[in-house]
Amino acid sequence: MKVDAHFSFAKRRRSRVFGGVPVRVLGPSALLCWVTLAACGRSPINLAPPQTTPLAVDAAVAPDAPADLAIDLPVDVPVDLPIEMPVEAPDEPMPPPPPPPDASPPVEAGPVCHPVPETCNGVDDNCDGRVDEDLPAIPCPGGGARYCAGGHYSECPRRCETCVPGSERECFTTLCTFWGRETCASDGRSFGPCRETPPPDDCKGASNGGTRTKDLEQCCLDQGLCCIDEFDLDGDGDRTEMLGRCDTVTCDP
Amino acid sequence: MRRAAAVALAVVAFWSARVVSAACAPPDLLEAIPPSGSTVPANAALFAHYASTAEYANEDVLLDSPDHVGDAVTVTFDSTQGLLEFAPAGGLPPGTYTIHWPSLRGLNVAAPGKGADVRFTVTAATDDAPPTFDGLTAVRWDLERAHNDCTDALENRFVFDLDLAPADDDGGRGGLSLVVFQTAGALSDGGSVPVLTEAMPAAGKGATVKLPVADATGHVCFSALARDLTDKTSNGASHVVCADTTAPPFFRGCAIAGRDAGSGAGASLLVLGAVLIARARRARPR
Repeated sequence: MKVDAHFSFAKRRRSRVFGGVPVRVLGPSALLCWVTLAACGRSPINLAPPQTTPLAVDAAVAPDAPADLAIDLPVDVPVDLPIEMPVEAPDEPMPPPPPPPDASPPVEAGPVCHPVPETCNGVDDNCDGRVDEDLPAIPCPGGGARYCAGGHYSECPRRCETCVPGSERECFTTLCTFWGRETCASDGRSFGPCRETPPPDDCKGASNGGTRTKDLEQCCLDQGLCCIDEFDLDGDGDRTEMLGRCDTVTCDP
Repeated sequence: MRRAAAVALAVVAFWSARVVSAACAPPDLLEAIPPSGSTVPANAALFAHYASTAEYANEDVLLDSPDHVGDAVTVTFDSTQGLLEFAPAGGLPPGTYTIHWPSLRGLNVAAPGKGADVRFTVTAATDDAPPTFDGLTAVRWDLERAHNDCTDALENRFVFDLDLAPADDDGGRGGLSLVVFQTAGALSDGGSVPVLTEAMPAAGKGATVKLPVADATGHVCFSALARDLTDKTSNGASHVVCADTTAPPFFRGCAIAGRDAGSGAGASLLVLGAVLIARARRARPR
């Protein structure tokens, strides 16, 4: 592995070894080039990600379209009105029709809005210039309500997204005891790392052969614990879900 | 001596473990809506917003009115949002009240959380109109890698700072709640998902949403609405703001002068480079 560095340019040696890694040292001219570029606001090494990406899109503008398409449209274009696609001109040029006698200037016919009751779809259905306005909230059985947001009715609120904060579930490590435990983060949005613990006494036999098998997970379930379904014992293809007694871990009531 | 040191170490270790445990998701009251000292309309309900671990087990909620002290009132608890609600039937007569929001127990937590006493004044006016709030105006994002008290590990979160349009309500701005939805991104899955419910930030302040990297990498959009104390909501949730995030790891580059660097800084760097090159050439043997 080679690493270009812009330091130590005054040294005569062009190659040094730091911690076993050969480091190629560039000369003064390279430094000057780099400094010049940096002074102009362009660094030769500038792989920084975009720090911020503020971008506002009105859902009235193509709510289901890709956003990069939506933002290219001017906001005041009434795309929520019925769209009439322009007919493409034929390949062969047509001669312009002769003007009718005493013709008045042509009046451009814009798209016509046909008012219908407003629904949650990101469109101005009732042609009043507003989108998804005054739509009622839908009560949720477990509490809270669903609101029209971004052209869709939202999901019902949940106590947490992934797991109840501070709750624990059993997991399976790849070495040693093959058993571990992971704790839900304080915001309930993810589990922390799987930390090795000794398995329950009744499950020690499940890993006696020194291998990880689904017997570990089955034993976990048999113990009445909340266990990650790493071996997909329920056969649904989801190896990140939880099985077992997870009442105090899962976010669903 | 050794024995005393060992005992001291054991005590410290035990105490540290307990501190970490206690700091993990306590079922505290996060905020009262409206906050203490507010003036509320006669038909308002009052809310206490608890942490998501809080469980309501019929603890007494007491109300001090101008005529009585310590009346237990009927409340409802919405565990999905952690909201304990006091909605007086027929409203409250004008006057000054204090409601005592209780300490609640929590799931997976031994110790009870914090409650609060909220003093408020009821007016004769009623809240009849929905709030005015045009939703979000901009979003900025960054990555946060912070120690988590529950997992005792570093957790990555995308932090979205949301700018809010002005909000108001005939029942008072202090009684508004802000509900933020994720309308695009892995978490929303083509729909919209509530990701934040809190008291409306002060005028001019924004809101912050923190999401796991897996839920918010790529094109992410948000919208928001305001909700008043009578459960009426604003329009404005149709307006979405979006950001395109990049999953870590990041390399923020080696630039020593940004694009906004002035000409003075650029000139200084050029002079510095020239001097260093000259010194290097003098030091080089012929």
